[in-house]
Amino acid sequence: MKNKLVVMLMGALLMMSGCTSDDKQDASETKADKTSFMSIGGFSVNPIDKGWVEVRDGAGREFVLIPRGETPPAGYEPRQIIYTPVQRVVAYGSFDIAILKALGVIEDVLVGVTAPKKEWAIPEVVTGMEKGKIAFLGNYNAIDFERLKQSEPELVMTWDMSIIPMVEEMGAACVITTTPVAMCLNARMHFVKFIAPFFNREKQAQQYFHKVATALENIRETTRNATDQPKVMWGDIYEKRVLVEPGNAWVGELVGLAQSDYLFDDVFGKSCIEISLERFLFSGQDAQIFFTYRTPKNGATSKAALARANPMIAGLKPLKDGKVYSPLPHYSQSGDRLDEILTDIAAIIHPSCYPGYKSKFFRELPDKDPES
Amino acid sequence: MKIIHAIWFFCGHIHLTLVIIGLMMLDLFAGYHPLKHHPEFFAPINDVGFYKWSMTYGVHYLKHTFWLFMLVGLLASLSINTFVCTTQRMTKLIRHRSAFSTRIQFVLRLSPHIIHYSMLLMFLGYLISYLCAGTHMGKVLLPGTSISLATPACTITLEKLDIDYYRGDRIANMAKRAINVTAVIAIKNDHRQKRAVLGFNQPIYFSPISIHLKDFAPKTSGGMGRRRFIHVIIKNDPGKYYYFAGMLFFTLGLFMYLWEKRVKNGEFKIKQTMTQGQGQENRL
Repeated sequence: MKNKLVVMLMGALLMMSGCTSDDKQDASETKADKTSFMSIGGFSVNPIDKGWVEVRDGAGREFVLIPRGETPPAGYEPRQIIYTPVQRVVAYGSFDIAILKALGVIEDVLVGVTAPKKEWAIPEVVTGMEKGKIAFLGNYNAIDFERLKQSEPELVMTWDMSIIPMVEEMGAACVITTTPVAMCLNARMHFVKFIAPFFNREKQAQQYFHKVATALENIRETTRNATDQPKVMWGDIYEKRVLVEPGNAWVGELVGLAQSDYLFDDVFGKSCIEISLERFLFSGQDAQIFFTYRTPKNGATSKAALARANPMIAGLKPLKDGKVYSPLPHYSQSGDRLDEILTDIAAIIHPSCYPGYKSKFFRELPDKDPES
Repeated sequence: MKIIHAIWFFCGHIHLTLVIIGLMMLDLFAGYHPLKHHPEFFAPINDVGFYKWSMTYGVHYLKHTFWLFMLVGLLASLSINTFVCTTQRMTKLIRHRSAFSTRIQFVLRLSPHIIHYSMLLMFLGYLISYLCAGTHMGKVLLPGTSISLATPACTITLEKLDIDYYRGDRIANMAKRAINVTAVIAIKNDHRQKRAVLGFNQPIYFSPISIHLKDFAPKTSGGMGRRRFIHVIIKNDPGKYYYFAGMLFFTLGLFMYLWEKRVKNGEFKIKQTMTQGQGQENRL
């Protein structure tokens, strides 16, 4: 009797312990009232009172978003108060800028970026820079603070914590949009809901989220009966470092969701995490598909070119008899088309499930460069 | 009166201890999965405090967090059980203190109870920390710059930042990587000032706050030339006094317990020698 009781109790506890998938959570959140608390990876959004929203950025710093013209609530330092909708933004990350595009505010609010015009594939940014509305503030490690000051941002979205003191001295808010641990698929999809309250664009955020969630559901359905489970690796070897996407990152999770085997599933940590060369080469023995970080501009024009650039990866199976994919230049700036990116990756992994599909964000590397 | 007596004895019963510990094991077993797969729900407890966490992450993700609430309840039960049980034993010992041949023997016999009370003091400290501690997150200091805190009012300046990089060539992966960081920090308020070295596992205490190093840059020498800075967490934690006191008393109790065992062991050996001696005399 006692044994039965213990087993029942354990069963009940396990049932309550949240073994259900996050997708069900996503579905329930789609229906959820916009006035409820939400945790998005390391970020959080907490509607508090009178339309005020308390947000927590990637560094754990709290801000309170209040409509313009209202008196700030007590209990917050001045640097924590951000008036909404924010009207002037400087953004470091291309994903952040793509999210501004997804929210439909990019042309109105973006005033500064950290990459020159020639590196941009987002038409709104190129046009804004041509018109002089968006300023190139210098590379991320050499920001021209005078130009930043002239841009008069109300909000700086960055991953670089070292600029916080300077930005706060200017009287602007500095929000960290990355976390020490890579964003999982769930967080990547929800990130738009963290940015939306700054611009009062919750409705657009919900539409974006719905679009990505639908794409994910389609991928699940389409690849459900895939017969093979290709082994996938994502990363690259640089001069002295080996960087990969960990298993907890959204790409790792997506590969698993698309009925495939991600070879760095056991690696946990930040995006572009460093691992040992031996571990990378070991996984490379079995991999069938290799996604490199390198773009054609960085030397990824063919398998032979990759092997020439780094002889150590010449022995990887995908370079010998598998497939190697390189991101196209606009890939990293297309976060507003996350649904298409996810579908693209699923189609690369399971071409048989997507007959006639043409990749929009990746290029399969030929064995050799065409002879000029 | 009888009922109160019965409740008092029930609360201190060893069987209750076993049940609570058993339930705690089951609860932790249930908490393993959510804690492993959703660390992001639990990490903010340290920053925002238990009350605020309960009202946000705790309530909204109850499916993943219920076990933590249960654990807090079980820990509270264990604390009550330990307090009652220890108090019962203490009162008995005090009542029969004349049975001990020396006063030191009596004091040493209190050692397990001192350990138990210390544990409760530590629990209390953690409870105060989670309920009352204030944390300043994401404070960044560049060499030569200062930050000011409103509560408690003070100014913190990073006077010097030293990052040691690996210069050897025996570990190729470590080439030019940071292996140690030390920051000279000056803190001052209206009444006093302090200058101290901050490092990993080397916080600075400036009552009532403590400063902890969370991160720094650059992690490698050369390369992209990132700006030099440290990221610190500043805590105002009144609970720390309780668990430091608890740790101190726990250590004291442990030493007393070992001493008592040693004395007992010595007495036992003397007794054994005496018994052996008597046996030999008898044989003779």
